[in-house]
Amino acid sequence: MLLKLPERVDGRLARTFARELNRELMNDRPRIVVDLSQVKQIDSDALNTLLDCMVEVANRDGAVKLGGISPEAATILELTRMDRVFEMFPTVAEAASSFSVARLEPATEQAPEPAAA
Amino acid sequence: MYVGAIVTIAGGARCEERSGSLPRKRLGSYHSAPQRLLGSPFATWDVLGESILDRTLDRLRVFGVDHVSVISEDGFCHWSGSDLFMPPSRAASGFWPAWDSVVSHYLNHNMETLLLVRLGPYVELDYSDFLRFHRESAAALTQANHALGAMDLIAVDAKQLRDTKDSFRARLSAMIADRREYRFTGYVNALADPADFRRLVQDALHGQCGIRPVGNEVEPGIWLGDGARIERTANVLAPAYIGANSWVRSSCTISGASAVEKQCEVDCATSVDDCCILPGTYLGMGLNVSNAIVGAGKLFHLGREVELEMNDGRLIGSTSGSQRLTRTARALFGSMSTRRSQTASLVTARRFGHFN
Repeated sequence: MLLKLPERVDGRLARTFARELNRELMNDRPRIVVDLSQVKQIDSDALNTLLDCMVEVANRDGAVKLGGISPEAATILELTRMDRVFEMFPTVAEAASSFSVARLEPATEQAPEPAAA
Repeated sequence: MYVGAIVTIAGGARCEERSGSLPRKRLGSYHSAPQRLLGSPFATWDVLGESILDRTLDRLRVFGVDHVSVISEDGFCHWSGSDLFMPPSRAASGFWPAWDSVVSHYLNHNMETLLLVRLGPYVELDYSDFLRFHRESAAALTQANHALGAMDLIAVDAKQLRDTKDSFRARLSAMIADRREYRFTGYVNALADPADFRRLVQDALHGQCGIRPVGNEVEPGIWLGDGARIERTANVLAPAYIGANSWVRSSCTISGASAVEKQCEVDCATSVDDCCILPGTYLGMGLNVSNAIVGAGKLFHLGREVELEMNDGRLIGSTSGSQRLTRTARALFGSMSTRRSQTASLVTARRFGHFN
C-alpha cells in the first residue's frame, strides 16, 4: 500500500490516514510505503500516529518504509530522531522494491524445487 | 572632528528592489544583497550575547563617533537609544525620507563628517584610522576597501552636501566618481546567507574575530551569560556559549561550537551540535538539533539549506510565558489521552511532551 502524505500533516490528518491503513492491517504481513516527497510540515501528533502505525504493522510481521523524503521531512525526522526508527529510501520506487527484494530472497532458495518436479 | 553616523540595516531582496537608487548600489560591491535570517535582518540577531547592530554601535562610540542614527531599509527608523542623536522628525516613514531627514538634521547641527555604514556585512574596521585617513586626504568621499571588495562603508565631507542645491542623494552619487579608497585588512564576514552567520559565531567562539562573548568564561572555551543554568547531568563541550538566563536541562549535550543565546530553554535529553540557537527559543525534549540555526519558531538546516516553520511548540517554540503555558497544557492533555505502552517502548524517551 502506498500512502502519499500532503504538504502539511497534522495529527488529525494523520489519524485519517491511519484509519485508511486499517484495511491493510487486516492482511498478514502488511507492506506500507509512505511517500514524503511533498511534505513541508509535520507535527509531533502526526509523528506519533506514524509511530503507532509502525507498531501495529510490526505486530503483524509487516513493515512501514518511508520513501521520496523531502529535505523538510528529512530534517524533521532527524530532529525527532525518527530517522533511526524508520527505514528510509531516497525514492518511493526504491522503498517499494525493497519489499520485493525481501520477499525474493527466500523465494529464490525454493525456486529449484518446482523446476525439478 | 564632529562626526555623525548613519547605520543602515540592510533589508531583504524586496528592499533591494525598492531602494534601487541607493548610493551604496554604486559604492558597495561586496555582497550588497544580503538575505534575512529567519525573517529578520542578520544585524538584529544576537551573536554571543549581543546583536551585530549593537556591537557596531559600540564600536562607533569607542572610536569617537559623536552621534549615530539607525535606519532600516525596510522603511522603519530606529533611533538607537536615548543617549544617541535623535532627529526631531521621528515620524519619517520609508527609507529615503528617513535618510534625508537624518542627513538634513546632521548638517543643521554642523557635523563635519558623515559616516555611512550599511549592515550588510560584518566589518571590523578601525573607524578612528578610517576617519583620520579621510581627514588627512581631504577627500570629499572616502570608501573602505578590503581585499574581498569595496565595503558599504563611506565617510563624506558634510560641507560638500551642505553646499549642494541638488538632493543629498544626487550630490552623493556625483561625489562617488572622485572617491578615495581606504584599504584595510581586518575581519570581514559578508553575512549574505545563514551559513555566513553561523561562520561568524564559530569564528567568534574560536577567537578568530573581534567579537567577544557576553558573559564569563567558566571553563576554557565555555562562556555563560548572567543567570545561565546548566544542570549537572548536561554535557557542554568547548567551545560553547550559553546566554543569559538560558537553561540547559538534564542529559542535554551542547557540542560543535554551538551557541545558545539568551533566554533559551533546552529541554531534557536534547542534543545540540554545530548550531546557533537564537534568543528566546525553546527546544523540546529528546531532540537531535544538528547543523542548524533555530529561532523565532523556525529552523534553518545549513546542510540541506531549508527553512522550516515549526508550528509545534512541543518540538521548537518560544520561551515566552504564553507559549510555555500552551505547551504545558498540551503536554498535560496529551498525557490524559491514552498513549499505548507499545509505542513508548519503541523510543526510549518520549519527546513530544513533558509528561508523555
